Amino acid sequence: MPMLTLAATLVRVVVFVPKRRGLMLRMMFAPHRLGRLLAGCLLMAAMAVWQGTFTTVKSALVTAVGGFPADRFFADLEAALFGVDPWRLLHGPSAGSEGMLRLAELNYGILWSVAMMAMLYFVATSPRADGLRLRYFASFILTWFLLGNVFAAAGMSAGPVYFGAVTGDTARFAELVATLSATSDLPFSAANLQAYLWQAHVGGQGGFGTGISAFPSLHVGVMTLNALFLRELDRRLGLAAFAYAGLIWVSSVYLGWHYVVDGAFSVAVVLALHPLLRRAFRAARA
Amino acid sequence: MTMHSASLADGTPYRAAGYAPPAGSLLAGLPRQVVRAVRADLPVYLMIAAYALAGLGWASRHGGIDPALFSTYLLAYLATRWC
Repeated sequence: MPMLTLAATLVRVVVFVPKRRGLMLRMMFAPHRLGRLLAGCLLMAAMAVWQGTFTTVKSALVTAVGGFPADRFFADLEAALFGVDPWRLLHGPSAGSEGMLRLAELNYGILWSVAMMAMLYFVATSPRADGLRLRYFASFILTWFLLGNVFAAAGMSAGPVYFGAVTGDTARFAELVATLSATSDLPFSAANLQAYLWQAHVGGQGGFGTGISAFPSLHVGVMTLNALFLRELDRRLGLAAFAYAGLIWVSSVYLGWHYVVDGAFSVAVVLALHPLLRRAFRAARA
Repeated sequence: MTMHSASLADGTPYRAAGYAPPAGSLLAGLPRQVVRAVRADLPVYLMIAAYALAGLGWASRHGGIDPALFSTYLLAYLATRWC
């Protein structure tokens, strides 16, 4: 990310600044900005400790709770709300479309991670985020803790693609699993990632992003959080980010990672948390 | 107009706003700025430390922590910062 930013900055100056490039470069690399960049990089590295702890706790939660007891409840709840398992509604219009599946996989598996890291990096390193930084990191850490630890323990579930493995009812989501397997020979396919996570879970192995828990959706929660903060910086950017959070929610169901209620609950928690923290920080500053 | 006479839209000189380097080396003043920025981030470090202590403490009471596993997580996540 730092290298990418450096390259983008240099290209921006060379291509879009016809005159006084030296002045522009000196401004961009002024001690004030470089100091923030280096401190931000240090902060990003420290976040690895938090993320490593989060994954450790997430993996231990399944043992502490004793498996995934809530899958049947969430599957029945969304089937009652929609009259059918919702993934069928989403796959209906694009049945058999490998292209749509591929787009959803790349967006959900890769673009989401890039968007999350880019926002963290921007807030950590940019002087433009000076007024938001502490509140954003507090919100980010609290969102992951509440959604990924506290509420995940309360409603421990594995998700539709693992429904057969955790309940014994392999028939209910068998068609979804079969549909997703269409791209299993391609890199970053949902089917491959889902198999990797299950193998890591069963074998007790650790690694990047391991640990299974569907409820609530952190993918949706983090993008909703980002949208709320981006809206404070730029209204139009915020609206686009909300649309992206919606797309992630739909994708999470389309790819069989989550039940619809997983995303709904995350949005509700983040929307409730945001004004509370905003008020708390304002009060602390006063 | 030279660098040192340039100013922001509100009239604040670049140097006074912290955007322009002091005369001489571009890196002069950098260590002080890094220390100032890290100090401003201290509450985040405290949150990370508090979560790590509480989280790892909880995990050690529920199945234990495998140091090799935790190192794997750390290295994997650190790699995402720079790759």
